[in-house]
Amino acid sequence: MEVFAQQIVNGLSIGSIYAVFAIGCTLIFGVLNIINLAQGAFLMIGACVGLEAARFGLPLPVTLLVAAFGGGLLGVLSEQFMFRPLRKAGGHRWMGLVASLALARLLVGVAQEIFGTEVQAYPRSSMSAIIWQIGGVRIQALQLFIIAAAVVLMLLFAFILQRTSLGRAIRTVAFSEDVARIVGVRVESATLVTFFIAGALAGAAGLLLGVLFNVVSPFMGDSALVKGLTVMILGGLGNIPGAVAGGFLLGLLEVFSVAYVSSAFRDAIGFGLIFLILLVKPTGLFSGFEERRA
Amino acid sequence: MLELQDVTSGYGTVPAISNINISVPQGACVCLIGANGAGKTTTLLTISGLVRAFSGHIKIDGVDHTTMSADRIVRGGVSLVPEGRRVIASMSVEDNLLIGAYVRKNGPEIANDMRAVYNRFPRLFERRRHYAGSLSGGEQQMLAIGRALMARPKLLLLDEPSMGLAPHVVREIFETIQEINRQGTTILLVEQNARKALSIANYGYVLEKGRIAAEGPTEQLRNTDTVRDAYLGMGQAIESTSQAALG
Ligand SMILES: Nc1ncnc2c1ncn2[C@@H]1O[C@H](COP(=O)(O)OP(=O)(O)O)[C@@H](O)[C@H]1O
Ligand SMILES: [Mg+2]
Repeated sequence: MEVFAQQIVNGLSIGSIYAVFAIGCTLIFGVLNIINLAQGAFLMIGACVGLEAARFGLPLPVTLLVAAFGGGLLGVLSEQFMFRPLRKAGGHRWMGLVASLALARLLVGVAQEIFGTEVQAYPRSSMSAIIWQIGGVRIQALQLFIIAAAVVLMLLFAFILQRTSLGRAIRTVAFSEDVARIVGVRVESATLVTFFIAGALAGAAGLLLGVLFNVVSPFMGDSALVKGLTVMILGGLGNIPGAVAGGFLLGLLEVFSVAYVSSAFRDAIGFGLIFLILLVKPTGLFSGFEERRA
Repeated sequence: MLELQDVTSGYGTVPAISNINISVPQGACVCLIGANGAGKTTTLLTISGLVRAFSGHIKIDGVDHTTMSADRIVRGGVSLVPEGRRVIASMSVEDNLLIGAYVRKNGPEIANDMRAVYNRFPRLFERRRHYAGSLSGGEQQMLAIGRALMARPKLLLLDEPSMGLAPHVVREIFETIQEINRQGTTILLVEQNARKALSIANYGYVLEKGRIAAEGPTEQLRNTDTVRDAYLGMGQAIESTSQAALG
């Protein structure tokens, strides 16, 4: 029972990070119908700049903002200098996919040059020292910070998308660029903002991930990307509430498979289950969610 | 208010409309009729900045709009109710109206105009929290018109608002268009339903294969042989076939 409760806490902390990362990927997919494979690299860069900020002595919440801003900036640059020129040139959607993969490799290379290939750790923060013991369950203050930060980010995201003029504009572009133009939306700006938001979510997720495992490396984006894509598919492509649920689900699944089976099967079990789910429900576990709210 | 001077426009390098001259005076309701594929939609899209004119000039209140971006055209007071309505299916009715006011900043005025739209279309008020995709064709047309009105246009462009709607709904939509016009909004109405369009417009243009084939005050145009034979007869036929198609 204690092991179970402990795994719930661990699963929620990692799952909340997956959810934050995946809603960014899902947003890009929903608006532009592309999968940006560089999102994983944005996550890694977020963790790296966050680490530099932490070494500089900035408090954790501020490093989170720095990481988010770094990721967002990269998102904007990737749209401005890569995706948009490709679209303008009439490139097929696959071209964007391949180009984003190339960008990811490039960023990993740059990170290796700047930050080195060694795995690095965050400076000891006071938060990792605070541990509550409730029954037999250990809860780190850091875990609570991560879950809280992830939830705040998701609520902020939901608020922007659902309740603001900017959010309506982004959703309109997702529906149809022509309709967006008809109502006076500057589609190019709305797209840039979309890339900023998605990149910022990736950067923030990178920092949270680095802090949770206390590991930052130029290669951390790769496995994160696979997880982000898994969550996207699990939640139903383009379905944001589905991505949130899928993120938490994957986090819990992973943690439980480590606790009860073996850490060697952590990824295999997660993906095996996803394969099963897709066989049974190819549109994703949470598809139909949005329609049902009507 | 709106002047099209020798406008040629189309897709890629192929012109769909050639050397079009259209004039819509302030406060008027002008209609543009023509068969399927004549270039009516292209004309409206060119005015809205979604399709670029190859040559010629588009002026609104004397200001050249020919190369202006679509969003500036909306900001300049020209709104389009597009063919096929194009309401945002995955958004609520209310959000569809709010996105119509995207170019405006004044919150209280927007709220006022929203109330005005709901007064005009009580059905939309009843269904304001529903997804636009769940509305009937007539309700979606009302929503598309409401969305355009939320930008407070000086000039309203309507592309086949009667398409696919039952006759009593068409009547309602046309009454609404007349009312909007009476309240001071200038209107350019595109229709295949020539009979209906000519009955509410003051002036009409007939588009054939991308060129203006006839024009004149509607009472006059209605009685010319070309229009009577080609459009009013056929308009009836189209109406009855589309009704048959709708079952
Ligand atoms: N997106 C497009 N690309 C290429 N050609 C088009 C496009 N839309 C319309 N056309 C062509 O332009 C001509 C005029 O079409 P349109 O303006 O839609 O006519 P209407 O609205 O009067 O039915 C037609 O020959 C049509 O095939
Ligand atoms: Mg048309």
